[in-house]
Amino acid sequence: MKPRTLFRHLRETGKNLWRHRFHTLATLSTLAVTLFLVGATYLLVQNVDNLSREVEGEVVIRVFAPVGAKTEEVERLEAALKALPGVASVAYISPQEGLERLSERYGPELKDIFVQDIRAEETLPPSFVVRTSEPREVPELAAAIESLPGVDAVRYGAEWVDKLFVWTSILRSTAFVLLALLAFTAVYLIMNTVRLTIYMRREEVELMRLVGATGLYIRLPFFFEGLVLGTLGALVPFFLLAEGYRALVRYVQENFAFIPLLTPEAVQGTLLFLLLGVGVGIGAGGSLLSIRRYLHV
Amino acid sequence: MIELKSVWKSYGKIHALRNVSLTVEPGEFVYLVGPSGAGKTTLLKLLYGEETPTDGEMRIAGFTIGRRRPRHLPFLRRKVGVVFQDFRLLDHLTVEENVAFALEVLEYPPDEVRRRVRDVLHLVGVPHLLQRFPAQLSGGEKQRVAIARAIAPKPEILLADEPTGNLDPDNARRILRILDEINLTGTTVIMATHNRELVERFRRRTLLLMEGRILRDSAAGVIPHEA
Repeated sequence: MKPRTLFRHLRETGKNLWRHRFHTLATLSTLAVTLFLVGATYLLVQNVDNLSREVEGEVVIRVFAPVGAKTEEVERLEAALKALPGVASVAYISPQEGLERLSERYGPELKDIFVQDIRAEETLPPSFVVRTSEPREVPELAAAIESLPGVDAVRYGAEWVDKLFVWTSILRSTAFVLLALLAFTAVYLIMNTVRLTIYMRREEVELMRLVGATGLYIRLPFFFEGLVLGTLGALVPFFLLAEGYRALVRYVQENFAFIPLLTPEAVQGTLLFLLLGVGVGIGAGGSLLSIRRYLHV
Repeated sequence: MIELKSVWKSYGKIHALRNVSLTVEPGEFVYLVGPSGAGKTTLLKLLYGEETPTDGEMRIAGFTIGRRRPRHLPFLRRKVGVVFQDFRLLDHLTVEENVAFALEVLEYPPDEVRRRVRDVLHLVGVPHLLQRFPAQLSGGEKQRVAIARAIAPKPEILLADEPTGNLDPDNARRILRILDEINLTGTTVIMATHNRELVERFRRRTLLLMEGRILRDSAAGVIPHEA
């Protein structure tokens, strides 16, 4: 295909879309809404995934000795922990290390305050991170540890981790069904838009056939119409989502720094790919269906 | 150029063409006459590949056409120009664009398109109508533009289905003179018509079709008498 022909087809596509602009707008809006939801779901699921992965790595039992506990008390506790059945590893975190971890988590701005103004030994308890060989035994083990002497507090996150997993999977399947329905609607709408163009241009199509234009030549502008709709319908929600997410991440970082959101840069590329892929797929699918059914060359 | 061997065309139980055999040499001018429903339009449709024969064999401009829809149809159509009674111009395009349309969809370079459009509009005698829209043209002018569009890609065969059917006698004669001129450049012309006056005035080989059969094939100069 010559570049001139391609240009002619694209110009033709633009004209067609403009000729039934209200229909175009309706199709585009539906597609944009659909893809916006696809993108939003993607961002949500990615973040929940990320969160649960972080938390899952933390399905550990944190054991705290009282603040200011003496070295031998801490050593005795460590030995007792190691002696418990089902314990895979025990790691000691001194108050100083605890402070460093904490300050890292709250960002560089606060780090100086933490390091300069807080005296670890007076503020933070010595603690242990206990890993189990079998995560499901965490609750029983935690109970056993709690009864050990020299233990001030025991914490573990397994319970809400389980809940999180359940909710994520419900969210995923609901979103999937909903999005599949929306995608079908979008395909149907594109099919109809292209059908409208085929109908409007039936005389031209007839003449093209008559003078000997090839099937590909006749079909291409209609195929392009779906592609253009799909691409535009993907770009609009992409920019909205990308900007919206950037703002959200900024807001969360400023106000709820402990929520570990993925950075905009980490998700943008995949988001664009995903939306363009789904958009172009819907566009191509809709126009191909219409061409097969309504365009006889 | 055109060769039909025992061609049948049936629509269910209705036989539009019955055992038609026919040879047309390059450069011939042939009238197709006969009452409505005799099969003139069906025969033309077979010649430009719009329909395929139910039985029999055809060769047109080097292409063989059997019962199956030919894959090379677009390339056959580039060798066969068609003109209709109702002109079939695109109303939203100017005269120039209408003629250019046929060349553009065949991917002719823009310079070539411009040159050919001017040439053919000159040939059919309407070079001054370039920027007009079909709605601003008379019937005769529209048909001349339609002919210009059909011959712009330089087809080897020009088919005309009742091209003068909607025109007054003066315009009809003018159209015939144009077809004659195109024929003189070597293009084979086949014209279906009801217009006895034209057939008698411009004598050419004439095929009389009746109920799907070729009843008479008379050389130029002999007027067939309808049965």
